[in-house]
Amino acid sequence: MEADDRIVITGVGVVSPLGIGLPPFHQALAEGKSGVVPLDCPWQTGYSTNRAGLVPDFVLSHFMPLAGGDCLGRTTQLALVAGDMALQSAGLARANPVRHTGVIVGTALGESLAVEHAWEAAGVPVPAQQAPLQMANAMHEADLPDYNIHDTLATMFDLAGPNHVVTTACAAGNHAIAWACDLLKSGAADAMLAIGVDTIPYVDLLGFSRLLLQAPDCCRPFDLRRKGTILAEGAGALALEPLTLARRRGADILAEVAGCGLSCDAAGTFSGRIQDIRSLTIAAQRALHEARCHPEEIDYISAHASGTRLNDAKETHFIKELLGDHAYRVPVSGIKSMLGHAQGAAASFEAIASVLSLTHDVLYPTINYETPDPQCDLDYVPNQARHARVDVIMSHAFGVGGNNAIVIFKRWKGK
Amino acid sequence: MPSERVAITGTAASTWLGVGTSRLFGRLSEGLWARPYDIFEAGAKRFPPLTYDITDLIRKTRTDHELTRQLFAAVDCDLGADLAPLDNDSKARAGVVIGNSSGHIPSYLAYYTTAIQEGYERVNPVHFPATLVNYSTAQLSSGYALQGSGTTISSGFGAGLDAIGYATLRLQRGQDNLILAGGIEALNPYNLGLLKRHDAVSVSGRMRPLQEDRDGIVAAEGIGMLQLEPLLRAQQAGHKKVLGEVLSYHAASGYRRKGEAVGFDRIVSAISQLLQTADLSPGDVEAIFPSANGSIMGDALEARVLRHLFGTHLDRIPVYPVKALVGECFTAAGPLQCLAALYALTLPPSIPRETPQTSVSGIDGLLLLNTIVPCRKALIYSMGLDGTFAALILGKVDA
Repeated sequence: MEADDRIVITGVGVVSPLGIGLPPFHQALAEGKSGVVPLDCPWQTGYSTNRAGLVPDFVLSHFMPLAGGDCLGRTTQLALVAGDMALQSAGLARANPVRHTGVIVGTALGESLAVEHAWEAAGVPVPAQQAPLQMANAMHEADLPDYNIHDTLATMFDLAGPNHVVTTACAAGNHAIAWACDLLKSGAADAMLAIGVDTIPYVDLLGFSRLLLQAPDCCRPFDLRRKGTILAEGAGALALEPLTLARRRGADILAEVAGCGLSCDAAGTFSGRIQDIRSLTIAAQRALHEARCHPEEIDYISAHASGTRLNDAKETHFIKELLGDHAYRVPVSGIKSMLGHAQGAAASFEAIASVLSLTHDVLYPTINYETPDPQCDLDYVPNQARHARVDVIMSHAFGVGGNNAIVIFKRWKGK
Repeated sequence: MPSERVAITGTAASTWLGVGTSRLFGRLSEGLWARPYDIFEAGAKRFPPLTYDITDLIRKTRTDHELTRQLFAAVDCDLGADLAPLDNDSKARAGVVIGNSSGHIPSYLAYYTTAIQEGYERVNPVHFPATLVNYSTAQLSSGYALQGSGTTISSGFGAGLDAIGYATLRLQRGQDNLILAGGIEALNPYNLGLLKRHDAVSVSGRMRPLQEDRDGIVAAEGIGMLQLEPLLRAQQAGHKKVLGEVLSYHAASGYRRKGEAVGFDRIVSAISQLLQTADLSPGDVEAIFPSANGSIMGDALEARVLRHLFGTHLDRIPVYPVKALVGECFTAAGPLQCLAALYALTLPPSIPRETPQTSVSGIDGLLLLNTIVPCRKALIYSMGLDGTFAALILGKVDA
């Protein structure tokens, strides 16, 4: 790995509630559309209607005719299609492979949906105190689908490089990008896929609902009447390479991953006060240091913006503390308002949206914004997209459990 | 790997033997094969009831999650004295990286079962976080207020060694100054079901890895953690005890697909790359801590791989299948093998090597010594039934 070699994005793939593929994703975001729909499910959560961001009309065989594809869990299927799109768009597909390409999958729940199906198909529930082997018999009878998402991806795409799964909840998508960049900079790989992916198992939906973190109607980041988030599913993939290698093979460069910063709240899973932003500041400072940026150079923020009361206020406070007066000049978008909160995929969606903002000179809106909150008084690009040129974007991802991952993207200027 | 050297300055463990690295080292000092470990109860070996006092950590984190409580106990027992006095700036650069692929599943299924059986209203909302696989990492970070990078890796049963490899990379890149890294495992329908699907469970309940009369695997729970720091910082601190260093790390996957063992070449290639990264030849390795778990096919594959890589040199390299002592701990096994390797790396060089006649007879002439003897370079690898493979080389650091 040569000194000062930057990491660039050469391909993207997206499977989202707003569409499959980059053009529909971009168009829907730019038009302020919502991908949140009623969730038709047998589960009881205490809500009269469950709503979620669902990928419409997803059938694996329509995108990848794959023998045995039905045996794969839905999470793996989503990741496969997004990953394939990213490899194709980067020119890294099987027909033209880069020798040492790897994949990092970021997910909060992995194939938990498949685990639930297997548990149910085995005829359980079984009391928790029952002996482990008896429980194992039940799962064995249910014949679990392939559980190793990263291994499946590496096999299907014939990737010989490092492949791993990072499970840092809602920050996993950015974590995958950070780990991929570390591996590229250390010379462990010549190209990496960073994929964020998740589906919505019952435990997840119920968990958020019982904690009153799931909104009954829609996700309204930063709005005074916000009542929580809306869960979603999907997958987002980025193909990353060292600049030197990308140039050598004549790849189209979409943007630069300039810096990544990780931290942990270390303050309990859902606890914290608005003022507790030290860990967020640590992550931001690390990202800025790696990107060789001053805070004043940030000209757009892709916020975590989950729509919960505490998070949105805390995130606003963090932005103001980090940027000072400059915070009032920086637009902040919360695209979970349109996509829902896809957890492991959320940060990947926001990364792809950041790339599109840089390449299309567009700032995506925060929709469902109707009533300003005095605690959240920044420019959230309310309800309508905006044409604007930005050069440096900071993308936030704050996971359940306190995992924080901030990535800084820069416009690729050709040198 | 980049040039910054990464040292191991502490360890933590919890197994069926109890809480604390000293319990594991105590048994190792008796000899790996000294006791008949066929006392494992049929089916599985769980953590014993926790008697170690973790009141303080429970008060800070309010966790009632069994695996996390064991993790607290293990870390506090051996590393609490190091972590408690860290100042805020040090804690801002201290992280936790844990390999955990299925340890959350018991709490996940308990939550799900309650909802289905008794109704959603009977589900305790505060139990939800423990259904997430990153819960234990988050709680350990909270318990000691460690605000550096907190990461959970779930790349399968090699994830414990992956965590150590990832932590090493982050330290080498200057992104943290101290990281607790390792693996944790609780028995659950997924890991036990995997053994059943591969027909790998020991009928006799006796762990005899790499021996002719092995008949399968005994599953167990476990926790193995290392405290990692840049070597230079540890040495400059003066009071730190350097137990060893990480010389190289490598991982691979896909060597086993749905019961079909196809990965001989892949594993050979992975270990070869591992040696190359550390600038070592096979003859430089002085001890091997294999993944061997009594699996009839798996152990045979390992013996073949080792013989291919090391040739006749293998006749002189002690091979210590640590799972004979701790059981198959899945994600925690690799880090526990690292602890055993550190035991060997820190032994005084004056301890004589035992003659082969007093060791246990291993397949393909493998040298299964009873007593762990000193070494300077140790190979550790994890070859999971789920097809994942990860390996490390640890080295002795001269004072």
